[in-house]
Amino acid sequence: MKRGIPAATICTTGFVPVGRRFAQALGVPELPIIEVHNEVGHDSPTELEETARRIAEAVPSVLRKYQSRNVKGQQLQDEGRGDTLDVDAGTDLSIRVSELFLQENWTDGLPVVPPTEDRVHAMLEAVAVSPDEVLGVLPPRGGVATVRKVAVCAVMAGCLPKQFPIVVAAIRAIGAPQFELRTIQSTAHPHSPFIVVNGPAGIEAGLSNGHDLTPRGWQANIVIARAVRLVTVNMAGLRNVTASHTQGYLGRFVDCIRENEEENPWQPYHTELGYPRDASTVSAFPGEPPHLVDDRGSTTPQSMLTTFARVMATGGNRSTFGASEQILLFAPSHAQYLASHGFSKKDVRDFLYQVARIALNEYPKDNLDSLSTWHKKLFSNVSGPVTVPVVHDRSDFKVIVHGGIGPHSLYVPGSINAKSATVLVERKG
Amino acid sequence: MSKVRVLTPVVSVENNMQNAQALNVDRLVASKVRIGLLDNTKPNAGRLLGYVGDLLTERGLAARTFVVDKNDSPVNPAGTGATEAVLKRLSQEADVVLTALGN
Repeated sequence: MKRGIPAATICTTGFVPVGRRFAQALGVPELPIIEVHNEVGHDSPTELEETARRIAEAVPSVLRKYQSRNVKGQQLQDEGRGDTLDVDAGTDLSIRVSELFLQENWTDGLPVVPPTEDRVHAMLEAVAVSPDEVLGVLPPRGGVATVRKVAVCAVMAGCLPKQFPIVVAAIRAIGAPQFELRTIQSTAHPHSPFIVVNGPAGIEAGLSNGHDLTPRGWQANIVIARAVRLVTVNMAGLRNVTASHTQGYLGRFVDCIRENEEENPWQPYHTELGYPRDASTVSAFPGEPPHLVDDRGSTTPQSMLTTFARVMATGGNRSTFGASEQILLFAPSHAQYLASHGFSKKDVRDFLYQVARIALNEYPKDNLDSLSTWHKKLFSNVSGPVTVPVVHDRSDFKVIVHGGIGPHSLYVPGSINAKSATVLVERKG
Repeated sequence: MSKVRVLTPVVSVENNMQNAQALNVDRLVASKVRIGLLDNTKPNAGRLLGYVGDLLTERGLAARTFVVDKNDSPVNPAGTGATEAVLKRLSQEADVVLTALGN
């Protein structure tokens, strides 16, 4: 429509509310939507023909709507609420603010710390950037994420000022074009930002590298992740449509970890990207909730990595259908075992590229449509014992060390559309 | 009772209509129109649009229909926008565009 061409979109019933919100966010609130009542992916040709008939019957009304010149573009309007609210003081201030903010859909459902002027000011004092600096314009909504507004979310989340530089860097990272926040915010595929912090700023912020046994040890991880979540709700999310995942809020919560550089036998993740070892970075990965990789008995590196490969390479794993990144959080014991047996990170990637593959004949023939364009180009017309690698390029295996004791590593499947982004943490002074 | 001022997370939104072009509805006065069908490559979307195109031609609504997809996208196309080349073709060759489809 914005190219000047009348348009309509065909949408299944369940996606109509998301479609309407999207159209509003994109400045075309009156975009005609032709609703069909079933998901067509599983339909037979006969069923598709019936659905096509219903769509064709709706087309004349779409044309009439345009012919009557009733369809216009319109910029998404700001909300009625302003930048501040005056709330009755008193001992139950936190409860009142939490209820009010929940009513406005400004929260993640949990109670919030009231973002008073003093608290937000203290947050802003902790960073070297101007309160009005724009960290990103976050899609799909196109919300302008200034440092000040991000500070409001950080206070709401329970962050301490010393943790705010990490939040600022995380918002820059999720706003990077390759991160494709538009997709993450609007897809039915349950994934969200997965934040990995490297360098001294993570230690200063109190982030756990996985060893802590007490809730206090996880405070920084939880509140930084929550601040990122609240920013996505308020600045990126479509109003009142903040969870279009098939399973609702599951997979919608953000995780934040610090790489366990202290027990990492390899070079830390950020140094692979060219940052100095003493630099502090935040990397945002588009990820599903972590999956367990349990290996307590392997007696060779090849055997251990085959366990990792088998967790990843399964026919129903959506992130293996395309050119996704696969994030591997190696437990220190697993990483140290591999390194002590001569396996570098490159060796890990090379081995996984060969072994983490899915036999093409394990994909049901009628589900091959689900494969990415890249996969289709390579594999649609082949038969026999062909295997499909779970990554496009072996550098898409992201090797990170995290956690404490125990034989449990984690696998975080990536997004089929998005790539990770890493930015420097700007520290004050 | 005294009041406490709190800040809200309400933000301004980007003006995304800056480069929008005026709608050209004059093309629709013709008795038959050219209809572009944009396939997002989700399962069955292209097949469904093909049937829609056939029906619109059969019923005399369309002078011509054509299906384009986003397969020149470097990543999975369903979740990303159409490329400039696809949008240009639709702008030049279609009087109206139908897009499809969610899962």
